[in-house]
Amino acid sequence: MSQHTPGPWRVYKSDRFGESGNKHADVWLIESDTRKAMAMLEVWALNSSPKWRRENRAAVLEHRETISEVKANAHLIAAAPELLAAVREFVSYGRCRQANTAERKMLAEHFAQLAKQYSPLLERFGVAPHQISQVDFDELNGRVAIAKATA
Amino acid sequence: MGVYSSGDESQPIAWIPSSEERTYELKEEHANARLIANAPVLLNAIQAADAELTAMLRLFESESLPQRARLRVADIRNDLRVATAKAIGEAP
Repeated sequence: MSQHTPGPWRVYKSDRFGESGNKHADVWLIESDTRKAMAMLEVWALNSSPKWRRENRAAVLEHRETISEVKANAHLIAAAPELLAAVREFVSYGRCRQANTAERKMLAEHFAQLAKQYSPLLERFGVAPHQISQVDFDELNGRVAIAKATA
Repeated sequence: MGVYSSGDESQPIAWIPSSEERTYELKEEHANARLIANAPVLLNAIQAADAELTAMLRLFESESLPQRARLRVADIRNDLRVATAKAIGEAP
Protein backbone atom coordinates (compact mmCIF):
# COMPACT_ATOMS: atom_id res chain seq x y z
CA MET A 1 0.00 0.00 0.00
CA SER A 2 1.43 3.40 -0.90
CA GLN A 3 1.46 5.85 1.97
CA HIS A 4 0.36 9.44 1.70
CA THR A 5 2.22 12.18 3.57
CA PRO A 6 1.17 11.90 7.23
CA GLY A 7 -1.29 14.49 8.53
CA PRO A 8 -2.15 16.95 9.75
CA TRP A 9 -2.10 18.94 6.55
CA ARG A 10 -2.57 22.69 6.64
CA VAL A 11 -3.69 25.23 4.08
CA TYR A 12 -2.27 28.71 3.76
CA LYS A 13 -2.64 31.57 1.34
CA SER A 14 0.63 32.15 -0.42
CA ASP A 15 2.30 35.27 -1.75
CA ARG A 16 4.36 33.27 -4.22
CA PHE A 17 3.44 32.81 -7.88
CA GLY A 18 1.30 29.86 -8.85
CA GLU A 19 1.83 27.26 -11.55
CA SER A 20 0.84 29.84 -14.17
CA GLY A 21 3.48 32.33 -13.09
CA ASN A 22 0.75 34.98 -12.95
CA LYS A 23 1.95 37.27 -10.18
CA HIS A 24 -1.53 38.56 -9.39
CA ALA A 25 -3.10 35.11 -9.00
CA ASP A 26 -4.61 33.87 -5.73
CA VAL A 27 -2.60 30.87 -4.58
CA TRP A 28 -3.25 28.42 -1.72
CA LEU A 29 -0.66 25.86 -0.66
CA ILE A 30 -1.11 22.63 1.28
CA GLU A 31 1.73 21.67 3.62
CA SER A 32 2.48 19.28 6.44
CA ASP A 33 5.13 19.22 9.16
CA THR A 34 7.41 17.24 6.85
CA ARG A 35 6.48 18.49 3.37
CA LYS A 36 6.20 22.00 2.04
CA ALA A 37 3.91 22.87 -0.87
CA MET A 38 2.52 19.38 -1.36
CA ALA A 39 -0.30 20.77 -3.46
CA MET A 40 -1.14 24.13 -4.93
CA LEU A 41 -4.46 25.68 -5.91
CA GLU A 42 -4.61 28.77 -8.01
CA VAL A 43 -7.17 31.24 -9.37
CA TRP A 44 -5.94 33.58 -12.07
CA ALA A 45 -6.37 37.28 -11.47
CA LEU A 46 -8.80 39.34 -13.54
CA ASN A 47 -7.95 42.56 -15.26
CA SER A 48 -7.59 45.09 -12.42
CA SER A 49 -8.58 48.15 -14.44
CA PRO A 50 -11.67 49.81 -12.84
CA LYS A 51 -13.08 50.52 -16.29
CA TRP A 52 -12.80 46.87 -17.35
CA ARG A 53 -14.36 45.74 -14.05
CA ARG A 54 -17.29 48.13 -14.47
CA GLU A 55 -17.93 46.79 -17.96
CA ASN A 56 -17.57 43.13 -16.97
CA ARG A 57 -19.54 42.85 -13.73
CA ALA A 58 -20.72 39.30 -14.47
CA ALA A 59 -17.14 38.12 -14.92
CA VAL A 60 -16.10 39.85 -11.70
CA LEU A 61 -18.91 38.14 -9.75
CA GLU A 62 -18.09 34.75 -11.29
CA HIS A 63 -14.44 35.26 -10.37
CA ARG A 64 -15.39 35.94 -6.73
CA GLU A 65 -17.41 32.71 -6.67
CA THR A 66 -14.50 30.81 -8.15
CA ILE A 67 -12.16 32.13 -5.45
CA SER A 68 -14.63 31.06 -2.78
CA GLU A 69 -14.95 27.59 -4.33
CA VAL A 70 -11.19 27.09 -4.66
CA LYS A 71 -10.65 28.22 -1.07
CA ALA A 72 -13.24 25.62 0.05
CA ASN A 73 -11.45 22.98 -2.04
CA ALA A 74 -8.18 23.87 -0.28
CA HIS A 75 -9.78 23.30 3.14
CA LEU A 76 -11.27 20.01 1.96
CA ILE A 77 -7.90 18.83 0.63
CA ALA A 78 -6.10 19.79 3.85
CA ALA A 79 -8.60 17.70 5.82
CA ALA A 80 -8.22 14.62 3.58
CA PRO A 81 -5.87 12.63 5.90
CA GLU A 82 -8.25 13.18 8.85
CA LEU A 83 -11.25 12.20 6.71
CA LEU A 84 -9.54 8.96 5.67
CA ALA A 85 -8.51 8.25 9.27
CA ALA A 86 -12.07 8.90 10.45
CA VAL A 87 -13.51 6.43 7.92
CA ARG A 88 -10.87 3.87 8.88
CA GLU A 89 -11.63 4.27 12.57
CA PHE A 90 -15.36 4.13 11.92
CA VAL A 91 -14.97 0.83 10.06
CA SER A 92 -12.80 -0.58 12.86
CA TYR A 93 -15.81 -0.39 15.22
CA GLY A 94 -17.52 -2.86 12.92
CA ARG A 95 -14.81 -5.39 13.74
CA CYS A 96 -15.78 -5.47 17.38
CA ARG A 97 -14.46 -8.61 19.09
CA GLN A 98 -16.67 -8.80 22.13
CA ALA A 99 -20.42 -8.98 22.05
CA ASN A 100 -21.17 -10.81 25.26
CA THR A 101 -24.07 -8.66 26.41
CA ALA A 102 -27.28 -7.74 24.65
CA GLU A 103 -26.19 -4.11 24.53
CA ARG A 104 -22.79 -4.88 22.96
CA LYS A 105 -24.37 -7.35 20.59
CA MET A 106 -26.71 -4.67 19.34
CA LEU A 107 -23.89 -2.15 18.87
CA ALA A 108 -21.69 -4.76 17.20
CA GLU A 109 -24.42 -5.77 14.76
CA HIS A 110 -25.10 -2.19 13.72
CA PHE A 111 -21.44 -1.31 13.29
CA ALA A 112 -20.68 -4.55 11.44
CA GLN A 113 -23.35 -3.62 8.93
CA LEU A 114 -21.93 -0.13 8.51
CA ALA A 115 -18.39 -1.47 8.21
CA LYS A 116 -19.48 -3.73 5.37
CA GLN A 117 -20.94 -0.69 3.63
CA TYR A 118 -17.84 1.50 4.06
CA SER A 119 -15.03 -1.04 3.57
CA PRO A 120 -15.04 -0.76 -0.24
CA LEU A 121 -14.21 2.94 0.11
CA LEU A 122 -11.10 2.09 2.14
CA GLU A 123 -10.08 -0.52 -0.40
CA ARG A 124 -9.89 2.32 -2.91
CA PHE A 125 -6.95 3.58 -0.82
CA GLY A 126 -5.36 0.14 -0.64
CA VAL A 127 -6.62 -0.61 2.89
CA ALA A 128 -7.83 -4.22 3.00
CA PRO A 129 -10.39 -5.25 5.65
CA HIS A 130 -7.85 -7.47 7.45
CA GLN A 131 -5.56 -4.44 7.89
CA ILE A 132 -8.15 -2.66 10.01
CA SER A 133 -7.67 -3.31 13.69
CA GLN A 134 -10.31 -5.10 15.69
CA VAL A 135 -11.67 -3.28 18.69
CA ASP A 136 -14.11 -4.03 21.41
CA PHE A 137 -16.37 -1.45 22.89
CA ASP A 138 -14.57 -1.38 26.23
CA GLU A 139 -11.34 -0.64 24.40
CA LEU A 140 -13.17 2.03 22.44
CA ASN A 141 -14.34 3.71 25.64
CA GLY A 142 -10.74 3.74 26.86
CA ARG A 143 -9.50 5.26 23.59
CA VAL A 144 -12.14 7.97 23.66
CA ALA A 145 -11.23 8.83 27.24
CA ILE A 146 -7.48 8.94 26.44
CA ALA A 147 -8.06 11.08 23.34
CA LYS A 148 -10.10 13.55 25.33
CA ALA A 149 -7.60 13.68 28.17
CA THR A 150 -4.69 14.35 25.83
CA ALA A 151 -6.51 16.75 23.49
CA MET B 1 1.04 16.84 -11.75
CA GLY B 2 -2.55 18.08 -12.05
CA VAL B 3 -5.40 16.60 -9.98
CA TYR B 4 -8.69 16.67 -11.88
CA SER B 5 -12.33 16.29 -10.96
CA SER B 6 -13.94 13.27 -12.64
CA GLY B 7 -16.66 15.48 -14.11
CA ASP B 8 -14.39 18.08 -15.65
CA GLU B 9 -10.94 17.23 -16.85
CA SER B 10 -10.39 20.51 -18.67
CA GLN B 11 -8.90 22.27 -15.66
CA PRO B 12 -7.10 20.81 -12.64
CA ILE B 13 -8.51 21.28 -9.13
CA ALA B 14 -5.00 21.35 -7.73
CA TRP B 15 -1.38 21.02 -8.77
CA ILE B 16 1.14 18.79 -7.10
CA PRO B 17 4.48 20.53 -7.70
CA SER B 18 6.93 18.27 -9.45
CA SER B 19 10.33 18.27 -11.17
CA GLU B 20 12.92 20.40 -9.37
CA GLU B 21 10.55 21.24 -6.50
CA ARG B 22 9.84 17.62 -5.67
CA THR B 23 11.79 16.47 -2.69
CA TYR B 24 9.92 13.33 -1.87
CA GLU B 25 9.14 9.93 -3.27
CA LEU B 26 6.97 9.53 -6.33
CA LYS B 27 4.93 6.86 -4.52
CA GLU B 28 4.06 9.30 -1.78
CA GLU B 29 3.19 11.92 -4.37
CA HIS B 30 0.81 9.50 -6.10
CA ALA B 31 -0.76 8.52 -2.76
CA ASN B 32 -1.28 12.21 -1.99
CA ALA B 33 -2.87 12.77 -5.42
CA ARG B 34 -5.25 9.85 -4.85
CA LEU B 35 -6.17 11.19 -1.42
CA ILE B 36 -6.71 14.72 -2.76
CA ALA B 37 -8.85 13.52 -5.66
CA ASN B 38 -11.00 11.43 -3.30
CA ALA B 39 -11.41 14.02 -0.55
CA PRO B 40 -14.98 14.90 -1.68
CA VAL B 41 -15.92 11.19 -1.67
CA LEU B 42 -14.52 10.81 1.85
CA LEU B 43 -16.43 13.86 3.06
CA ASN B 44 -19.68 12.52 1.55
CA ALA B 45 -19.07 9.14 3.19
CA ILE B 46 -18.47 10.74 6.57
CA GLN B 47 -21.57 12.89 6.30
CA ALA B 48 -23.57 9.79 5.36
CA ALA B 49 -22.05 7.89 8.30
CA ASP B 50 -22.98 10.78 10.59
CA ALA B 51 -26.59 10.46 9.41
CA GLU B 52 -26.50 6.68 9.98
CA LEU B 53 -25.24 7.17 13.54
CA THR B 54 -27.89 9.80 14.21
CA ALA B 55 -30.55 7.31 13.05
CA MET B 56 -28.91 4.63 15.22
CA LEU B 57 -29.07 6.95 18.24
CA ARG B 58 -32.78 7.57 17.66
CA LEU B 59 -33.40 3.85 17.41
CA PHE B 60 -31.44 3.16 20.60
CA GLU B 61 -33.39 5.85 22.37
CA SER B 62 -36.72 4.34 21.34
CA GLU B 63 -35.52 0.89 22.43
CA SER B 64 -34.37 2.33 25.76
CA LEU B 65 -30.80 1.08 25.38
CA PRO B 66 -28.60 2.05 28.35
CA GLN B 67 -27.27 5.55 28.22
CA ARG B 68 -23.64 4.38 28.14
CA ALA B 69 -24.26 2.65 24.79
CA ARG B 70 -25.77 5.81 23.39
CA LEU B 71 -22.81 7.82 24.67
CA ARG B 72 -20.40 5.50 22.84
CA VAL B 73 -22.23 6.06 19.59
CA ALA B 74 -22.38 9.81 20.22
CA ASP B 75 -18.60 9.83 20.84
CA ILE B 76 -17.95 8.05 17.55
CA ARG B 77 -20.22 10.52 15.75
CA ASN B 78 -18.39 13.40 17.40
CA ASP B 79 -15.06 12.14 15.97
CA LEU B 80 -16.62 12.23 12.50
CA ARG B 81 -17.85 15.77 13.11
CA VAL B 82 -14.38 16.98 14.07
CA ALA B 83 -13.03 15.79 10.70
CA THR B 84 -16.03 17.29 8.89
CA ALA B 85 -15.53 20.69 10.56
CA LYS B 86 -11.96 20.86 9.29
CA ALA B 87 -13.00 19.80 5.79
CA ILE B 88 -15.59 22.55 5.52
CA GLY B 89 -13.28 25.19 6.98
CA GLU B 90 -15.11 25.44 10.29
CA ALA B 91 -12.49 23.94 12.58
CA PRO B 92 -11.69 26.16 15.58
